[in-house]
Amino acid sequence: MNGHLTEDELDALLCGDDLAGERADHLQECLVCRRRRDGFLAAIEDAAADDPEVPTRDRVRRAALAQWSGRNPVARRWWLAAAAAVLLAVVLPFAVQRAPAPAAVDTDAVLRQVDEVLARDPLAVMASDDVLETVVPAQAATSPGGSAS
Amino acid sequence: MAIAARREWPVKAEDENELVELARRGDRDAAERLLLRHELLVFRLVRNLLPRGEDVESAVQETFVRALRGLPRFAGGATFSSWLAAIAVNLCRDRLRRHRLVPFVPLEKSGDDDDPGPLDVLPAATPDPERQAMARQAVGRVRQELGRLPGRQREVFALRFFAGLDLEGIAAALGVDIGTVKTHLHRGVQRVRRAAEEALP
Ligand SMILES: [Zn+2]
Repeated sequence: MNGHLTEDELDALLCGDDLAGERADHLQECLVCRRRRDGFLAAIEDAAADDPEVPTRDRVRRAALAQWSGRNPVARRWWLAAAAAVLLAVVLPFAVQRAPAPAAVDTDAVLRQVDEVLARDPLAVMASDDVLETVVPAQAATSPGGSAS
Repeated sequence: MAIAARREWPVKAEDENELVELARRGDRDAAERLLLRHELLVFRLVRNLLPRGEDVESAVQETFVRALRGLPRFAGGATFSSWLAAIAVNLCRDRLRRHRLVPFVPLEKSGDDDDPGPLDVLPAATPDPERQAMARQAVGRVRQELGRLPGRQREVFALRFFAGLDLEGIAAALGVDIGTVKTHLHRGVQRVRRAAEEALP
């Protein structure tokens, strides 16, 4: 078969199919068939060729990256971790301050009374338990569990 | 941080997988390299799937953002380029549907669009003005006929000739088998080639 490529052969060739040996040889030698193939490919190439300028491409790419990194899961995870740390730093001191510390209050009162006693009579440190019981009433015996009186 | 240097990033499959993995973990530089490699594919595809006058840049940007956000779902079974192409095609379909757009505004006369095409800026050394005019007409006829192709044919044609994907890549991008791709491509080529030849000597 030595004629020019048929329409189907030409289309198949442009779709990426290989021509059978003899037909491939024909294409190699035939200017008419090559021109038909190349004319189409050149028209396609020209139709595709008005690519955007580099600054346009850079701008679009960077805008997309900015939009992505602003909301990408990894970045968001860091942001959440940072926010949690700040929140803890702010809330924790308040939480600690607001926690009940009844023993501390009682101890202050006791120490104040002891100081008063000692100021009056330094020898009081030698006092026996029953004397102390008199000076420091129920509060001194307060157990960690309660301050009932 | 020279962009020029980045453009020389070697195009090897294993590097691409590495870039995808890094980008998936939030590495902005890896993400940028990935986009750099494939952005022309997306620009060409979007420009040829959306009607003239549509905002190509915003469509490309949205394609990039969808791709980057979707990276955790990229399985790696397909190539990154066909995966990206699939996102671009879907986005164009969405836009066409949303705006009930006709893919292309058919040209009244071949090659008379307002945008200066590549043939309008050919160097003065280009020899034959007659041939040039015919080539310009052929480009116009290609665009016109492309706009008249049924949706799937147009997508296959654009993926092959404008995005440069092979048949497997097109099949992966469109989620169809290779036989279907071949059928659509053959029909598309048949129509576009005949239209172009009408304008050529
Ligand atoms: Zn021939």
